[in-house]
Amino acid sequence: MSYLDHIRACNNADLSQFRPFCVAGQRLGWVGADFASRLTAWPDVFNVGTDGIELASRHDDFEARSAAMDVPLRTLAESGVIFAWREEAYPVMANWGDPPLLQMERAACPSFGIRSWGVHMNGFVRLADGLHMWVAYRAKDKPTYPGMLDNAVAGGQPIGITARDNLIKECAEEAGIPEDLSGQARPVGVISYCHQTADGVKPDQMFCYDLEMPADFTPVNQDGEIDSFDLWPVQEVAARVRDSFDFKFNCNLAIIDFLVRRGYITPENESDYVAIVLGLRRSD
Amino acid sequence: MGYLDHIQACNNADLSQFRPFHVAGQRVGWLQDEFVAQLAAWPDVFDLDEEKVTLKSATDNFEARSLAIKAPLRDLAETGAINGWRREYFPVMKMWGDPPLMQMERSSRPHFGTCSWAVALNGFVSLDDGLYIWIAYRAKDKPTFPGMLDVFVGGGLPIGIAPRDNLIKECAEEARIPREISDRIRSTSVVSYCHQALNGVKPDQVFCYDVEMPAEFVPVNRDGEIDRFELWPVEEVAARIRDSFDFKFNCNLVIIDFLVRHGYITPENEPDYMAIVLGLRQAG
Repeated sequence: MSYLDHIRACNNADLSQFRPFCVAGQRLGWVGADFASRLTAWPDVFNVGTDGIELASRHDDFEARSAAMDVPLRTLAESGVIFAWREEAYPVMANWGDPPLLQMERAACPSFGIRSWGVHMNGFVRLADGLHMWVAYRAKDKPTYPGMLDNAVAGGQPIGITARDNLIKECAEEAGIPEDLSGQARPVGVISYCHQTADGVKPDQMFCYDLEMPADFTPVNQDGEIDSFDLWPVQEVAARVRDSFDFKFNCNLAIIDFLVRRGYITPENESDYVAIVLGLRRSD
Repeated sequence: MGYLDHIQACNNADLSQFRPFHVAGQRVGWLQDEFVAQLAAWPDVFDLDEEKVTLKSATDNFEARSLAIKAPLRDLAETGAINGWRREYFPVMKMWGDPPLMQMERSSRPHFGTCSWAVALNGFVSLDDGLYIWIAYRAKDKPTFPGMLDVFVGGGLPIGIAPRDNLIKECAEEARIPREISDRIRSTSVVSYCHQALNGVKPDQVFCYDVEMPAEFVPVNRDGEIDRFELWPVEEVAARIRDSFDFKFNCNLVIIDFLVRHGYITPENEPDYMAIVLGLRQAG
C-alpha cells in the first residue's frame, strides 16, 4: 500500500447515495435513504422529499432551528440510530467563516452529512539522532475508533471557541500540555476530505498545527480518552502510516501533511507526490 | 484587497472558451479558437473538430509525437504566433508521475494549455528582530513579467531533470548560492492554479521549497534575469502581497503558502483562511 491509499480511504464517499440536506436554502449536508425515512416521523421539522431533505422554513433563526432539531436528535439517539451522544454542540454552516445557521450535537453530524471542523496537532521532539513524533493510543473504550493510533493531540471544533483556543484546551485535556507550551503551537494549514462511514458522511476540514516539544516533557492524558503516548522516530511514523491503517483515518492525512511540509515526502522519493499533496486538501 | 484576490487572479481561466487538446487518447491541454484556426495549416499533424483538437501521429510513441509537433511549432514561432522560442523542452503529460507523452518547446505551452511544472524557493533569514525573506526584482528586459517582484529563486522544470536538481541549478545561476547551502533546501508543498493569459492557459503546478539562509550570505545574480535581491521583514512581504499585484502572479501563491505553513496567516487573523488554504491547491 502507499500514502495515496489514505487519501482514497478518506475520500471514499459516494454522494450519489445521499440526498442533499438544506437549511435556509443552502445545501449543508447529505442524508442517506434509511436516515431520511426516520426523519419523516417529524413532519413539522423536516420536509423529506425524494430529491432532498430540508429543515422546515418556519424555523427561521439560529435559536429556532437549533431547538427544532434537538427533540428529533435526542429521540434518535435514545433509539440508537444516532450513536455516541456527547452533549457537545457543533456549529452548522456551509463554510468556515460563515455565521452558523444552527448548532447540532456532534454525534448527529455524520447522519446529516454536515461539515465539521477540528484541530490536529503534530507534537515533535528534536533528539541527537533525529526528529521524533509523539503518537497517541486511543483508549480501548472510546466510542469511536477505539485502540487506534492518533496524533499527539486532536479534537473536534465545538461552537463558540476559536480553533486556537480549542487546541490549547485539547492540549491540556488530552496530553497535559501546559498553556505556556501549547501556546507555542503553530498553525500550518488544513487537511480536508469527504469520508463515508456506516453512520453517514463526514465532509470535514481539520486545522493542522505543529508543536516542537522539549525532550524532557512527557504527555500525560487527563480525560481518559488516550491510553498512552509513545515517542517514535519520524521514519517509523512515516512507515507505519504508509504501510498500515493503524492510525485513525484522518490522522494519516495530518501526518502525511507534516511529512510533506518537513521534506520527508519529496517529489523524488514519492512518485505520487503531486496527487498526494493536492489530495490532502479536497475543496468542494 | 486581500490574499484571496491572488487565488482568484491565478485561477481566472474560463475553460468554456477553450477546446480540449488530446494526445494519445488523453486530454492534456486547452486551445483558443484563434489558435486552433492556425493549426489547420497542418492537417497531417492536427485533427480538428468542433469538440477537440487531436495530435495525429503515425507512430504512437514519445519520439514520433515530439517530432510531429515540432515543425508546426517552429513555423508558428517564426510567424510570431508563438512568442519567445528558447529551445528549452518541457514534458507533456496529464499528471505528474505519468510517463511524458511528448516534449514541447516551453514558449508554445500556454497556446496548447498543457500543464507545466516549476520549482520555487522561499529563502529566509532568522535575525534577532524576526524572520526576513529574500525578494528578487525581475530584470526590466526579461521577456515575461519584466520588473516585477519574484520569489528568491524559481524556474520552469524542463524535461529530464528532477525538481530538486533543477532548483539547485537555478540557485547557482540566479543567486550564486553554493552547493553547501542549496543542499539544505527542503521540499515543502505544491501550489497549483489554472491561469488564463493573452497567449492561452497555464494550468501549472509549482513545487515549493524552503531554505534558511545564513545571515551573512548576499545573493548575486549571474544570468541577467534578476536585477537585484532585497531582504525584507516577513511582515513587509506579507503586506505587499496582501495589498498589491507587484509580485509576478504565481509568486503570490508561493509566498502565501509559506506564510500559512509558518503560521503568519492563521485561522484567527484571516477570515478567509479556509478559502485561501484550499485555494492554493487546485486539483488539475
